[in-house]
Amino acid sequence: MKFIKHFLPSLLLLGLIYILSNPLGAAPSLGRFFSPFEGFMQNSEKKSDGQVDADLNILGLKEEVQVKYDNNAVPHIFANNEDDLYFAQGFVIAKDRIWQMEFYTLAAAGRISEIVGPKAIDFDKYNRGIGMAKTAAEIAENLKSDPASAKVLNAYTAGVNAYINQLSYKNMPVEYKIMGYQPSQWTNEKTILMLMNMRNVLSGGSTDYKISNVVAKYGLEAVNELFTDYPLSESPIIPVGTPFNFPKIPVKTPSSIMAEGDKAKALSFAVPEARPEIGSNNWAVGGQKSATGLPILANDPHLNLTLPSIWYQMQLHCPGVNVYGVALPGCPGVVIGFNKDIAWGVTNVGSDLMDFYKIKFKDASQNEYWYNGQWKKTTQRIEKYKIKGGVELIDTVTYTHHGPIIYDKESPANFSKNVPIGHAMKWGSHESDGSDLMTFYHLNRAKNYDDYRKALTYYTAPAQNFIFASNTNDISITPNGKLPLKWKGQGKYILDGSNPEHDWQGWIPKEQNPTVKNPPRGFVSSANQSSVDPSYPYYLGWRFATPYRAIRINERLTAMKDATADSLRLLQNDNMNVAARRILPNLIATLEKSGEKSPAFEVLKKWNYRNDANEVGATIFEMWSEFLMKGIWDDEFGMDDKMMYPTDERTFDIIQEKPKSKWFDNVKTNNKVETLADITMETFKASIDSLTLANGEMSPETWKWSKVKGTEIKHLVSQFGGFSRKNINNGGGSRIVNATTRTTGPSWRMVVELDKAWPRAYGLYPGGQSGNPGSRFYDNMIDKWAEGKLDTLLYMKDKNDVILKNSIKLNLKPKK
Amino acid sequence: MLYILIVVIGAVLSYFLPWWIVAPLIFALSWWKGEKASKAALVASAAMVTLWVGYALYLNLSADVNLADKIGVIFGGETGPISKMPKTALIFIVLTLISTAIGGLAGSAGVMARDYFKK
Repeated sequence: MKFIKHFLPSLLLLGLIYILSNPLGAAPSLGRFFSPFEGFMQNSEKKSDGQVDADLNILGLKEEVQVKYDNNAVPHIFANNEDDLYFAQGFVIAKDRIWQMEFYTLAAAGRISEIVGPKAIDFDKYNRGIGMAKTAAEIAENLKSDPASAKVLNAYTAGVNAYINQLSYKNMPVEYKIMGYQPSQWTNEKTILMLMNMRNVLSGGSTDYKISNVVAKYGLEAVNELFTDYPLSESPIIPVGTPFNFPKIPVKTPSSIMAEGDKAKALSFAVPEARPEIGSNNWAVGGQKSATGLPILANDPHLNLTLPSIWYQMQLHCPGVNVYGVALPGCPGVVIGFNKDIAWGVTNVGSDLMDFYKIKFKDASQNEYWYNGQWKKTTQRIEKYKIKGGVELIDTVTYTHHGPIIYDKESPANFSKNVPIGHAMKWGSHESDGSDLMTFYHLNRAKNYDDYRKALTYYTAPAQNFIFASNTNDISITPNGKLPLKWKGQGKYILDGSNPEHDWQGWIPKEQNPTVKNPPRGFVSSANQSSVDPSYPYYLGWRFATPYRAIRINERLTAMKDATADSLRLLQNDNMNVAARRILPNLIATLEKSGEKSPAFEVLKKWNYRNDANEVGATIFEMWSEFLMKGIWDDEFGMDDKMMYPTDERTFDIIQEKPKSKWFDNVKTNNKVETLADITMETFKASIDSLTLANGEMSPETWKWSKVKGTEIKHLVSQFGGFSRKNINNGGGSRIVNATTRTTGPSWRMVVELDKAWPRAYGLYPGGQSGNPGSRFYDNMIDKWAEGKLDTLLYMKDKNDVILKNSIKLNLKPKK
Repeated sequence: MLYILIVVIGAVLSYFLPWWIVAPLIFALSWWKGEKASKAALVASAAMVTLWVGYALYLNLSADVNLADKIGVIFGGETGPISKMPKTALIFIVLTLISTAIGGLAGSAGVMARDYFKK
């Protein structure tokens, strides 16, 4: 009894320490986490942190590297040789972004459940199923025998690991502390996984099965009317009339163009909500249009807005290269940027790089499938999942010569709603030749147009519109990548996996990819619209971004004279709603006739077609156009039937040209034939009701566009609300040049004025250089970004350039 | 005396060693310097609160960005009753609870264990 009495506090103490030392459900071990000596409080940066020069001795460097941080925490790296340059780049990015880098690679490899537990297993299964890790491993293996790529990759990886190796729990990014895990060693393969992640984001979608369902229900005629291959109002990237002077490789169109009998019922996937268009803009004006007489280039890639930001600003300098721009955390080199002589940028091509083949298996074992008149063997890849909490899971993915079988079983939990069951995926992102990194390596060093063209030949995927401008007065744009050779319309529908004629027929030779140099109109541009008009001899795809942004950009650039960096900055922030400008007069006339007199209608009539932050008209139009689309199409092409709506652009064609079209009738009502006017009135009323319900009575404050749109920039772990920024006050929209929606938008804005002596450049992104939520550099650029302003980029001639005042030096010294 | 010893030695050890090092330290110091269990518990709690909450306050006040507030949002949630509390306060309440409990238990444990052998 006495013993128990005397040792009870000791036992309780041990019990408490035990509890606080172990993870509690989703929470980390609380003792360590809350200890101010090593827990999250150590991630709060003091005002003085990072504000004094420092020396670090690092194993693996050849010579000393000087990193100068400017007052926006952008590192300017000065090395004496390339190995040290990429080593230092890896080290410096890891210092700010290691958690983010690793998180992306875990996502691409289908390993998120290792750190968050079973709730991510479906997400992981999808990412493993589409084979990103397999391709990354193949590419990493191939690049071992490419000395130029291997050199850069090895140096970068060594730099990242040099940073990881000196990390302790105390100075680890706070996300590791919250989720209770540690960074593992970086590898070249992880760098490739980072790029695979971009391939997936930018070319990982498909509408093949939805369109096949439309054919099954309404026939090819309906597809030809509603899901056309080329928009009537298109303003293509390569200006119409650009000659394509090369011998065309013949492409054979078979007699049957889709898998037989692949009806809607065979494809038991639910269609996702139409997702907002994410795309990007870039353009360059030639000397004849600019105030300086030399080109100016602008680029703003639109992606999911996240914290930490997808981009990281930096300058890289060593003998042979001096480049400034943004890098992808985890990848060596600069992806979008400029050097003394040239500037370049990218937007997504969005050509059809993902097709599905209907596969006939011999039996449930999936060991053999029917191809070219005989049974052909599949291969099986075992996927092991080590789920957080200790459970292991084993899954098998079957591969045909087309590619992996995506989901052979029906499951309501299947992560992507975009993929058909029991079908093989053929995906351009599985191509493992070429070296995307070498494209950027050579662009970083390019001096002229010829260097640019040569750099593009290394590139594989995701296909990008590479825009270029030089201080020798050349401008150019090239939709570039490894593009499959297809018959016109191949892969618009589910293909027949047993028919060899349905295989991709090779690749468009890279020198025959569409390109234009110094077109007569004096500018080049892209906004994810159709790459080319139908005079281009090859088929690239049927569904590109609707042409609104392209129309606006091209009309503004056509009118522009004496352009300056600021004129291009203003165009990046242009909020003209071309869709509204086109269709609203028709819709207003209909409502006018019906005697509509509501205050909302009066506001809409006076609206200037601009999606500016405080416009109420923009709010009403955006909501109404959504309701209008649903009102017209949901009865025939509803979500339950796993189909898709025609584009709004095609819808507007029909409203204007075929106002009596049968499609306006709601087939779900009996004894009544609805007209376009009926739908127009009904949907207007419904959209006003919906807005009132969500925001209260209309007022300039409650209904202003920025408030209703509610742009937010979430942390990569979306549950980490405290690390996110909400209710950002800005305009824009999915069809607007300033393409800021609720969750997507310009992830980097850059404008570069080329110059014979030294370029002037401006840019910023919606985030900050630091990945640490406890740093003022975590999100310091967001407010300026929302206002549409740009920072002047400090592009230094050499390490003693006086344009950088008050830098903080970090000297990386080789450890002896 | 006990108070000062815990704060000073605790700070030095915590800087290099895992978070729980304060528990055996308080246990040992209380064994050595503690008088009554209840008093040792009180003094040790106060010292532990000084050490943890004091240092955390210093870090929080000298910081550029209120990270405690952001962490509070993550742990307190964005809906429900806890979400309405000031987030920084929430974090400091948890810190106070942990340090009081560890300090108090370790303080009394040291004295009472000693008394088992010495009385």
